Amino acid sequence: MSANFSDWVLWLYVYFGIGAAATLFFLGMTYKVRPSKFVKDMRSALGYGKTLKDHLQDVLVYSIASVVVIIGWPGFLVWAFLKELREMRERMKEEEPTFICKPEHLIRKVSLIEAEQENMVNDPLGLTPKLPFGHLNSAWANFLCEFSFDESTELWYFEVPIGSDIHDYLTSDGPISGYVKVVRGKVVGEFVIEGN
Amino acid sequence: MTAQVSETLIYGSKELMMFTTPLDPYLRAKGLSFVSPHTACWRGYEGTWEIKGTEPNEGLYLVALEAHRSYEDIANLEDIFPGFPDGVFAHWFSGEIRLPQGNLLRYIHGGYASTYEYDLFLEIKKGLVVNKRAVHNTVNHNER
Repeated sequence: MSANFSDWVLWLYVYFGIGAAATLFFLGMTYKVRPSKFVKDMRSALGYGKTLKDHLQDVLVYSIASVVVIIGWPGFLVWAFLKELREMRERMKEEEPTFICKPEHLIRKVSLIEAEQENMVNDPLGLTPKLPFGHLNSAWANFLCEFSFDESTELWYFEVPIGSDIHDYLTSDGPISGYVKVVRGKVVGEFVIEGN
Repeated sequence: MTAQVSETLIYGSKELMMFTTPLDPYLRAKGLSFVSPHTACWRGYEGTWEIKGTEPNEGLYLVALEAHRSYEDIANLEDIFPGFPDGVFAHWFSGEIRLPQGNLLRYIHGGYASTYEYDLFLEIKKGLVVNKRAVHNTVNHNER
């Protein structure tokens, strides 16, 4: 059984046709992120405007790139997919709330009642409300309401030692402690009871 | 960042500058923030604090506050802590508060980075004063 030559040509046309579509897709993506008119005008004003040579160079570069994409489009599609996946993960990571408490700061699992009993305020003048967490009692209530406590949710007491990194450019210069909600080993909510 | 206006601490009969902002952890926990009225007050408020009680049971209390909700709208202590006109115990704060004393040895145009002759440090644990120490500062003349 031998393959018909015209079948091969047809498949080649299909392959290059898809390649041409992929090229148009990539050119469209490039066009979408082109510099704005304002940027172009600013560059011109600063003497960095495009010359005829630059334009010709662009035409040459885009032509070569188009031919390469038409020929090797499967590889470029995989590359574009992986790039989008990576960017999506980075966006999701940026949108995740950040907490002072890191896994190494978790001290012990506590019950709600224990947490409240441990946090009656010792005020020398007795001015603070006689409620768990004193002036932070309403913030504690909000913390409890924010997430439902079901079987998968745990309440943990945490302590951040002095000198720990608590942000990109910040270290704690005093003890920080509080409570966090942990769901399947991941911190999902934080309530700081002492900080600096 | 421009040098920032200090908080004020009343300690005994003295009114001292305080280069620490103990209200910040409370504001973070409550999700509150204020607007900056000028570049020397990015935090948007100025608090007056007092050490009240007798040793060894001294506590840090917020006794007055001017907090900018907007440039014109300034909230006071009663607005932020209704029902506590005599002071609010800072049980949410742990750390050292820095009280600069004496002559200004070196001015740095940023935050609380300037150096004074002495720094008195009060160590606070959940609002209670647990330790005090003083540091005598010197400045290398080549740095001045």
